[in-house]
Amino acid sequence: MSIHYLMLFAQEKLKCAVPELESIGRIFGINLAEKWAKNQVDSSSMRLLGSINEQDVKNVMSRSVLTKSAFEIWGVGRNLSELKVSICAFPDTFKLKHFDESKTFAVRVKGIGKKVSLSEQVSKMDALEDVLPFHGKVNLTCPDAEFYIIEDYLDRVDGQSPAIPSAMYFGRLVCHGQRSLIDRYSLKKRKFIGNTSMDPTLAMVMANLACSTHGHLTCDPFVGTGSLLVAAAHFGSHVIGGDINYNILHAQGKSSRKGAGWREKDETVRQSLAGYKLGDKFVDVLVCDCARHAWNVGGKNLFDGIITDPPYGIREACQRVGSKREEPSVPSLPDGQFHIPEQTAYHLDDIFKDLINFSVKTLTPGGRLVYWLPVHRADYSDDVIPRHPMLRLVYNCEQILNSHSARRLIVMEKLPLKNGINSDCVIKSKIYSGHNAFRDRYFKV
Amino acid sequence: MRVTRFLKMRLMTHNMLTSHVKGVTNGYPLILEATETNEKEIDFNPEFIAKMIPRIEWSALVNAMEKLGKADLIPEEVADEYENDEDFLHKAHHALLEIDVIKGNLVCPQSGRKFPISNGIPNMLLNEDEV
Repeated sequence: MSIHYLMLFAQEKLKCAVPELESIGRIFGINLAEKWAKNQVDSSSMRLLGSINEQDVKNVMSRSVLTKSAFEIWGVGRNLSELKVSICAFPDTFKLKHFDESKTFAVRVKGIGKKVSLSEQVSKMDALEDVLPFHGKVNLTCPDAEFYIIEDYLDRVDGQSPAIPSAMYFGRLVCHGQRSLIDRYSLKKRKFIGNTSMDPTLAMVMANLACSTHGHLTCDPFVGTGSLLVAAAHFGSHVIGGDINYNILHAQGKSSRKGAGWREKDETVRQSLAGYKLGDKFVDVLVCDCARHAWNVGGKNLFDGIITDPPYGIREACQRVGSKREEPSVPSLPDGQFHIPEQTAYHLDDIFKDLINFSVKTLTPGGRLVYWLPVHRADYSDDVIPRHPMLRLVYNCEQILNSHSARRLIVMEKLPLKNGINSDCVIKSKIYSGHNAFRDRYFKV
Repeated sequence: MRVTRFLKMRLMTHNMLTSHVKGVTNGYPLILEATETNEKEIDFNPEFIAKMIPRIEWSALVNAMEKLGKADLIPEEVADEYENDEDFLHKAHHALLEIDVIKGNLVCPQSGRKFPISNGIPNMLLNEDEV
């Protein structure tokens, strides 16, 4: 009999827990896609893993921010009596060591989608007493082993939680995920932030999806305040980035934080990383236009991963160097001074095409591109996703922003093909063409 | 504390950049003109350096080190079994990550166009009449 592990997901708007776990598995050389148990309950809040060992579960959990906890499952049932039969059938070899007199334990009840009252919790624990002959002492603060009765109340009827759960699980806690990182990297506590700094949960998820890890070099071509690079560096990758905005990279201008005034000198990507003791992971940032970037793409593959949040024209303008005038003139300046070039509209379809072509040329084979694609939900179809023969679409997760708009987290992997490097990116749909294509749609609804 | 104490460009970045001025066909490598440099010890990560070696144009790195007057610090060629050559990886690590260019220019070898480095951040923006 093989043991199953229950992965309990956090309730996040972005339903991306399975892709996140599978991507982390890839880093550790575990093919999780093959290990999801057959006959899964259709639930966005949990998944069962089979034929995997406990160390692999712990490895995967050491990076997951969308998975709360992992449990070794001892029994499953629709009600208490089924659960008891199931626990009895679970082999003694796994159970007996925890029943030993020398081991302390704790049993808790976790309702998913409903708070279970204390009296109900006690009655459920009592009901399982005869199949769980614990001889050790109870220790609620720091037990040797922690057990959970997990009840699924997510099948809502008329918006109300059901009176009885649709499924019950009994399991031993293996470990928790990395939800605590969300607080450690909270933007509220970070000094250097901008209008579009990425929420730390999402940044961590993106770094996981990109498989950023030790020995990697991860690039963000729209780096801004470096919020995505913080996450990649946390997981051990070296980081490098570019942005067209001279002021933000040079800590000039006003802070995005209300009332904070002018940016201070240490509000830079490098200092931001150093503040998290990740300074050694920082390589460089440069002032660079994505439409005419300066990376040496002709030669060798440069990056293991590219994670980025391109501007959509809502909170950050889509701009590139250029002029409306036919023959723009640039003043000649003395040495030491430089000219800040005029900027012009950078259409969204060009942004995505440039990003895809850039990724194809700079990623190592198997390297991943992870980015956000904004969509008006009514306009969405497969055709809006930019395609390239060298890139395989791996995941596509929707995050709903409001009643009409969403953004999609797109994960693409570079294929180890010989041909196709000079092919062009194609976006079949026309929804991103024109200036402020998404912005206009967003505000007209 | 002066801001330049913590802002700089690494030679690794120099190695990955090229001139992209319109009409330039031979813009690599950029000529490094450094007026202010600094050195700082960084954690040595042999795994990372070994992974970067195939991505680096070694001759361009040697060239950049010559411009800084530090050519004697790195070998002219990549060592044969560099993955296991701790001494070589150490030298590569020093050249790629521990030398900071704080002020200077990256110069296009063909057109002579200068890309300034200020506060250690290279400015690779072209002007509106160059795109």
